[in-house]
Amino acid sequence: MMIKKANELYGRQISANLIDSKQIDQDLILKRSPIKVMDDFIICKRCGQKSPKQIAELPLHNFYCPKCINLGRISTLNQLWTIKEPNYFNTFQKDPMTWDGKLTKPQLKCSLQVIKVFKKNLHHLLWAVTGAGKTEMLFNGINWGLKHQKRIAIASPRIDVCMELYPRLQAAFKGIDITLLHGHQKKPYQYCQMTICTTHQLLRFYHAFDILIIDEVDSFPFVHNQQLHYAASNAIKQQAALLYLTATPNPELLRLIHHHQMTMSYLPIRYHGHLLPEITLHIAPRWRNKIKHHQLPRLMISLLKNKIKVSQRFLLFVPHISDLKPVSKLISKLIDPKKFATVYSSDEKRLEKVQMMRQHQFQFLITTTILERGVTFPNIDVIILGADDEIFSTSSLVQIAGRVGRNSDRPFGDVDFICHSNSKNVTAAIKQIKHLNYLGGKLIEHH
Amino acid sequence: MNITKHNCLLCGNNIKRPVTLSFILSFRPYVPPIVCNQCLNQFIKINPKQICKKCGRSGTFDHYECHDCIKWSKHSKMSFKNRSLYQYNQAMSDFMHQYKFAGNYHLRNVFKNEFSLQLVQMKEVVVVPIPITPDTMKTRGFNQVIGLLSGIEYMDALATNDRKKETPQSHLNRHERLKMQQPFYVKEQFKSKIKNKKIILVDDIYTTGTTIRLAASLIYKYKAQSVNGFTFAR
Repeated sequence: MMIKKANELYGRQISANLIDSKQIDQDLILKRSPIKVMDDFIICKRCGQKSPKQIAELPLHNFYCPKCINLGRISTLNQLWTIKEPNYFNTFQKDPMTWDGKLTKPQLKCSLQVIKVFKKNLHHLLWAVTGAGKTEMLFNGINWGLKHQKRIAIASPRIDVCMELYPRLQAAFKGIDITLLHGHQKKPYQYCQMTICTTHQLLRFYHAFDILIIDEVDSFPFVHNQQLHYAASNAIKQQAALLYLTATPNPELLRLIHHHQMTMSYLPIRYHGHLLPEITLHIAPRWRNKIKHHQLPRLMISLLKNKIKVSQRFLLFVPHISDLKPVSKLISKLIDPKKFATVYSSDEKRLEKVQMMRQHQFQFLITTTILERGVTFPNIDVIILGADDEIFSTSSLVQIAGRVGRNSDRPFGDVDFICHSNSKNVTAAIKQIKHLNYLGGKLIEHH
Repeated sequence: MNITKHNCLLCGNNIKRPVTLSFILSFRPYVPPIVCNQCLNQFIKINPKQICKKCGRSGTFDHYECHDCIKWSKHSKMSFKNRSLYQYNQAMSDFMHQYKFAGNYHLRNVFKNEFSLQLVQMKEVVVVPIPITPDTMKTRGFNQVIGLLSGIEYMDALATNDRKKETPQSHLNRHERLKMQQPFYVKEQFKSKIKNKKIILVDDIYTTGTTIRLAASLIYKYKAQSVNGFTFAR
């Protein structure tokens, strides 16, 4: 789709071959060469990544960037065009926020901190436990930004998080246009004051945003991805606020805070004012061998039987997709197979099965890390079989434990880890939850 | 043991290639893999024993030639055979989209050597690639056919007529394609060099055969001894 309007270039970086140049005043456009050619390698100015010359080479001494080709190729054949972000937005007579819900005291404290971060253009990490009500805490800050002509983006590595955020923000700010951008978006780009997008889409922006919020920073693919970190730093203006949100910060983020390159605030307590359910660790040596010999660990059988007896709904996590079949086969010997299902990432009926779980048609699901975040079922317990497997990072384990007790009707629940032996990640997850509960406990005493 | 840390060029997954004792003892040079077997298995080679003897389409046919070729032979008496390396299935369509239309020139390395090896084995022939328009060259930056040739001498004898390509060829239907006018001409300096040569025209995809046949009929005008086609996918 050709770009025909100047405002579609505000704060963006687009290859010139996608722009209908006759329709746009050329004097406005900042033109940059998209690729820096060095002796042995090239550097892409859109994604900031190096590639060896032999991989990036086109005939006739031209070069392209193979690292960000999924967003449309940029090459030395075409310049990269930008129009400086002018912040041409409506002025508001009254508050653009139409949300009239109430924040709890600790939430309110965090939300004031968010406004301060936006006002002073700080780089800040908001560490709020799973189920703390992070999105609601942003509303006051976003309200302030909209009123002060700031261009705002909320980005997340996960497309399902973006899809869930969009209707919530649209409902909280009725009458404000929001652009939703992701790889499967069919609608053409539109210039709006507020943008919700996947972190990959940030690669198309250049010094655009006054406020950038990145949700679930610790999740794949943003974590450990230099390209996306570069995209985020390139998408914001030189003077801009950058707010990271997470329930489970990784060591890299904590190191930045340690070195005073970023500030941080905690919210160690859930919106309903209760502490996080703590993890119970069970050791079942060589459980994998047992499953090979068509046996479930005995303590797992008693756990399952207890839950079935009291009709407790739960999720059972296993490390790998290949574990789903043998485990579910063994369980179906004990429990009516109609009561449960298995769910994995490329499962065609994934959404259907999750929906059926919501409607109480299943008592439990057997699944992998795909249901670790974003999906919420009220009043469930979780069991992880093989929590010591390297696929479960500390943040995955804390996220999975955080599925439990999110509802104020039943703010508690059981989190059971079954391991062959104790592992570093499991110990760290148990420690992290204990630490957050210690901080949360102090907060409860205060009030 | 895996000594490789390479990611597949097509699916991005890590390629696991165990280094076996027999490999070490074979003293063959270690060539780092660029595509995983799972991706490679999706491409289907055309079995040279089960094809239409004229256009190289895979399948078994009652007659010597397939239905389309019988139609062609009613139109013209030109002697022209085509052979192709791979079937044009979904995987190949996706690959071509990435390589040609998205412009990921590095992907030529997946098939370059295999394709060129076939051409090397043809004796005493002159390879002539089908050209692209100057407009395409400006936006794509490479000729996808020449990209598949590695270490092969070729004669860049053809060029496209200076007509504007209004709709890309891949958007035309069969009927519209068959009506196409001659899109090529032979460059001045090569006109005399074609005479009495065995020419192999090389293209990326054979769909209806119109393009490559138009090029062949043009080359026959300059007294080539024979003209045949070889395409990457069919």
